[in-house]
Amino acid sequence: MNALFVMPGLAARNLLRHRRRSAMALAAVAFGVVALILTGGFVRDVFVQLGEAIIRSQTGHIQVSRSGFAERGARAPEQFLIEATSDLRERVEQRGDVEAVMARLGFSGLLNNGRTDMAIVGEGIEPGREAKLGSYLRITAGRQLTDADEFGILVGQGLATAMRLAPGAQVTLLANTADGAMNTLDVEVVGVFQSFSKDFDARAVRVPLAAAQRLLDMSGYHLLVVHLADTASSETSTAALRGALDPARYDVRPWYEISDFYAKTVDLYDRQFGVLRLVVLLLVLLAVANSVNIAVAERTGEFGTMMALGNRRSEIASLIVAEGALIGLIGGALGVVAGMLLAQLISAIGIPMPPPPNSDLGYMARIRVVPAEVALALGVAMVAALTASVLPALRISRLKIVDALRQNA
Amino acid sequence: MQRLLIDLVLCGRNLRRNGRRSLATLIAVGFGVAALLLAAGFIEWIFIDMRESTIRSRLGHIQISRPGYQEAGAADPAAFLLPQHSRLRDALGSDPRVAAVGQRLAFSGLASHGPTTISFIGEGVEPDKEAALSTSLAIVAGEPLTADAPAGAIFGRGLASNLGVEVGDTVVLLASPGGGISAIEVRVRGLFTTVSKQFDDSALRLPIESARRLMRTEGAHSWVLLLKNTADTDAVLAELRGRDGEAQGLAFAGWHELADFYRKTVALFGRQVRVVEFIIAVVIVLSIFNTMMMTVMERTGEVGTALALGVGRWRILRQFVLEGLLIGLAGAAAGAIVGWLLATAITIVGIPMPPPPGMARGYVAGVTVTPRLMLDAIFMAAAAATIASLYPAWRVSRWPIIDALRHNR
Repeated sequence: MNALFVMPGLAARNLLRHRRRSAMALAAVAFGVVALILTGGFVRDVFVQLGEAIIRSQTGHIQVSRSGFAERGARAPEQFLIEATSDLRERVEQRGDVEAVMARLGFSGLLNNGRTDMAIVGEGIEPGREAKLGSYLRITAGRQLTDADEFGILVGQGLATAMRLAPGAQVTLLANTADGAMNTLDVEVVGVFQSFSKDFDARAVRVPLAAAQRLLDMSGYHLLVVHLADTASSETSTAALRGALDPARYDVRPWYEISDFYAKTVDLYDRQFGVLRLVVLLLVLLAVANSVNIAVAERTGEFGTMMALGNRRSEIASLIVAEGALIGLIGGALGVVAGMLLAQLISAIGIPMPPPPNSDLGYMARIRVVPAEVALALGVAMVAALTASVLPALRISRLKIVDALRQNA
Repeated sequence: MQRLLIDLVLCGRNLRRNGRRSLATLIAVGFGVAALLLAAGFIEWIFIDMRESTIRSRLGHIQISRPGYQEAGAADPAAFLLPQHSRLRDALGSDPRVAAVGQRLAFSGLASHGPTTISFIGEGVEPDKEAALSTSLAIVAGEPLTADAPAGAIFGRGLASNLGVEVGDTVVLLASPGGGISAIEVRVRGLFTTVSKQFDDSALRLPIESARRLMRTEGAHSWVLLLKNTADTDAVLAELRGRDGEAQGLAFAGWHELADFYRKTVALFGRQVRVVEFIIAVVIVLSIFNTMMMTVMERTGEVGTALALGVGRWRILRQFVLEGLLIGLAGAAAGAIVGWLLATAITIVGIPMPPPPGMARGYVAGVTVTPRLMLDAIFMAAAAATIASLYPAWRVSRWPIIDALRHNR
């Protein structure tokens, strides 16, 4: 029992006495922890950035629609209309976690530039709100839609190239109204946009909500796009909103359910980076084990002296293990501090990344310190330092005292 | 020369004498090389796989079309038609390097089923050729296209559900070639999905004869070449561009110019992976440095003896650096062998990967170790070991003789 209290004190003194050896072992542990924190934080950032990009440019955090709109909406859009008189919007808007809501009215039809028709997917939007929230939607020519544009249209980059449209061009939208008649609307191109997805840009247009309602001859909207103050609360907010709305009438879908691309990309990336992180982990384990092992092995003579003085082998073994634990703990703590500082520094500078697929916009990668990653890094360092000290501890117990003493030479 | 030889012999003896220390360094270097090989080899495998599946997904290795078709074809498709019969195409079909040549005709229009009419983008293809050319079109219901059933079309899953049709239903396709109106009736033969949901929501494919009938035209918009070996792409492309006669008035594009998605994925994923690889490399260098530092510093006493016997400081420095180089090379060679064996074993077992976005099935990844990767890893580790020995060697060689001797105790 007594040994339990004495041991850490002795172990600490030993570490202080062998300053250089301890420093090297500590450095190995700290480097390892830093490497693990940085790798984990970087991979985490890759996922977060991908999610934010999808939320900002396409889905918003949560979408509320009539039940069944997602599956059958394009066939009979008029059946899934949320009437302008509905109080849904006010009810969602009043919630504390909601930053903004905006209505969208989807339609499909043809765009005519006087020479040819192209099939398009259009959306009627509220320009003021979208401009504030859709920060990934970059305007490459012309300007954003504003609330003042009654008959303005934004066209996707791909569509603009294909139909040779520039800001100021006059185009005609054709679409079916609710009762099946063909309706047209003359609009003027005010800008060309670029989103996360090239496929999307090749056939997407955006018009003010009022213009879309006029084209389709209907009032109301299909989708209520909800932006939350914090992406992290998506899950809880979705559950809360589902509880508050009648499930038979409304579908509430969070962004990660809407975007199949995100879920699958994350799965795949997770595995790909997982392999790399496993390599880093093994490397750290071995580097730490190697350093601690050398540090202990160099002191065989010292252990010989202790045994000659009558110390028990078990005492020496537990002393070595206690030293290993201390090294793991202190080195781990140093590594955590250094890793967090480095992560802050790198995040402040940013790692320039090329544009993601389907996009022409690059971004700055950062390192996100995740508590779970930090805990994992610490755990790995502790395990490595402990395991590395157990082996030499076992070896000591088989050592002959005279042989060990001879190492003092 | 003689001196160097003696030094080398001495180095070898020193390494053998300090068996345990040499082993520790050897392990650090060897494991580093193996880890680097596995990480880089895994990434190499993923890139090669990505390249091949991109080419086979839809693009083919080389696409032949009228100049300007890629940019402006969508606005005025009739102006970019290729001839129905062509000696160039026949010649390519019999080229031993070419696996398949497929013709494609792009068109768009309206699809109508019962009360629903929505717009689509369509492609007329040669069914027997596309089996190899369009592997990214995963048939999720029904059967693929066949030349025996010219009225059978395959629909994107989203398009079919929006139109409210299932396999076996009949759909009327409407188009307006040259101002007139034209219609054909097709049967839904199968449903497909691709990487892009937006594409699936509006795309369909049918045999090229039917597409020509609908568009009242002959010929095709593009010829898609699939080669047996991706490495031949540049050679075939150069040959095609060098031809005169019929080749004039044609534009040739290699897969690399067309695969925007692939190029960007590789650029982004490559950079992301580089960051992780960089961390791995730093960990390896640091761990080699650490080990080298420890093993050299432990021999201070020995250096003191050598200095006292009159060995020059430069000679000692050279000796240690030479030892570093030797052990670096030996460790790197051992690591390369272990890494290669591990890579082979892992490739045989396979790393199960989840399905990429848009694909229905996952795949099994392996590790590709190219000679280049091997050389890079060996060079890096050997250089790291040599450079890592510089600093501690310099330090011990500058030590005051008396102090160094005292380390002998």
